[in-house]
Amino acid sequence: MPLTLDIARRELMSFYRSPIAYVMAAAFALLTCYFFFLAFEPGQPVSGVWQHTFGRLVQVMVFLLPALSMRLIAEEFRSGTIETLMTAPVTDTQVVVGKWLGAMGLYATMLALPLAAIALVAFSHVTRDPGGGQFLAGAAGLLMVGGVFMAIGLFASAMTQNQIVAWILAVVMLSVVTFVTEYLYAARWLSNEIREVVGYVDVTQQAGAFARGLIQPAGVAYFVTVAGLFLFCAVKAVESRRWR
Amino acid sequence: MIQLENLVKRFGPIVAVDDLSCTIEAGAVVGLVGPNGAGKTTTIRMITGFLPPTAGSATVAGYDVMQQSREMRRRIGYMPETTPLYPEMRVCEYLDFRGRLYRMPRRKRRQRMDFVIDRCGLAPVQRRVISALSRGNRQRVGLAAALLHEPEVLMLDEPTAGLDPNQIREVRQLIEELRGRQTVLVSSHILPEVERTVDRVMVIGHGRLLADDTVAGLRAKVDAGEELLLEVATDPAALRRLLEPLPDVASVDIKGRDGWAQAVVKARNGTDLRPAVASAVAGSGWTLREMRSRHATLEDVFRKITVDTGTTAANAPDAESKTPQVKGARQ
Repeated sequence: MPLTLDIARRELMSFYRSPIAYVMAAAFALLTCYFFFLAFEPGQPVSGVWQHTFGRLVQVMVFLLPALSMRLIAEEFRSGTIETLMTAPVTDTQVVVGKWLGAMGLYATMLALPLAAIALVAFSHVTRDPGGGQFLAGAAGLLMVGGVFMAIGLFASAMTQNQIVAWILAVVMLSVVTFVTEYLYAARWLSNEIREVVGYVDVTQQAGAFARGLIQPAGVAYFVTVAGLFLFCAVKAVESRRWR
Repeated sequence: MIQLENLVKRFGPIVAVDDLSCTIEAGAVVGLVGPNGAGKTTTIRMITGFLPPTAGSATVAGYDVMQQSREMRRRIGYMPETTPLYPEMRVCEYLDFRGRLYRMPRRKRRQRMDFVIDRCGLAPVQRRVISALSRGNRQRVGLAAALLHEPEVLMLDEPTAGLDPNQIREVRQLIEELRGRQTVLVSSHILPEVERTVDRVMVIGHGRLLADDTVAGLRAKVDAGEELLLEVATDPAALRRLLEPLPDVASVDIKGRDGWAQAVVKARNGTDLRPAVASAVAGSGWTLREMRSRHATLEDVFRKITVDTGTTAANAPDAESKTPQVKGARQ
């Protein structure tokens, strides 16, 4: 574990020295505030506002988060630093999980600031039922969505040494578990059973439950399983690239 | 310390390393030499456990590189060919990170960092960001990182590539200082660089071990005697008539240029021809402008072994192995 954290720490440090982290944080903050103020009206119930804001954020994260994850492993292979890293006594799993944790650390900070800002606005303008619990559940949902997106992005980054390719791959994969499933879930030509399965796979549905204030074991299990699955795939991808 | 047994690496149809076997004792400084594309980097990558071999096995410090990889990796220091580093980190941050990867306790890490920073001459730049460093300083950072955890085996892939002559000398001095304390494997495609630092040279070409000997032994193999070069103010034919009858002269090669005859005389049985040739020329009364003896340099050895394998078939294990097609057909 200490080794994994050392790798995470280095990754986080590297993010704080790259312009992309600041550009992304700024974009994320702007969009969060934009979605919030689009729906927010002082004095009105805030429950729908949270659902709207968190729902829209999941959609933009499909495009924003791959920009953070794209360089994680692709860059190591491109610059050759992977060689010095992998010949040190560390395992592939420690490298992959460490990088994921580092990226999650950045994501958590860039999530925390704008969310704190809009929460402050909401709670200071709403007297009756500010929906604090719902807000916290929604924020936890966003963190979990980020965990899954980052794991998928990391997997994409492990398959190529070109960051642009890694970004595109990640966006395509993320679109499948958000936009495509959303479309299929609404499709009338599919049987109800299939739509139910699609609905379970759909990240927007799962996150939507959190945004409504529902933290269910099944929902948590979904995010943990999917993130774990893609981290495992990323480890295998790193391993296989050394065999080629 | 390092033991390779029938190591093979294929990339699809290309055979990068072909049946390489050797043993390197603890404390030896060994040069891995061959032209670009000979399989040096692939060999080193297999020894470090970065690339798994297609067949065969490698053992470093008693640990199998694939089966006991992490134990083995604790004991090696490796500097890859292009010295890859994280450009956004400061030198001291990078070294600290490397120390953490090897689970060095804080005090030990500090102490070793100070040591390698001092040893590699990084003190003035230790707070600088790596992307702002010159090529030579980056190379030093790579070397410092490889030495940080006191590895038993140090592997340097082309450590002097892209350095200026002064920096090359520094690297050479550093390797000299490590002699006896660490086993060092250093690869290069430029021979004179390793010639002076290594105890033993392994020449590889097309993935095969072509020669494995001491520097002196290699020379002896390729060129039995020494050559005598002389320039005399006379007619080439006349000089030939004078030199050829001398005892122990194996061959005389003469070119005429601007009224001077330039001769290359080869001796038989390692005889020193200088006294005989000198008195013969003095006796003839011709003006002697130059006379010097020349040992075969590793460069000659290298050229002989890697290019005209045909002429030294006795030394090279297999002269045919030059083309991959031939190899494929034979197997």
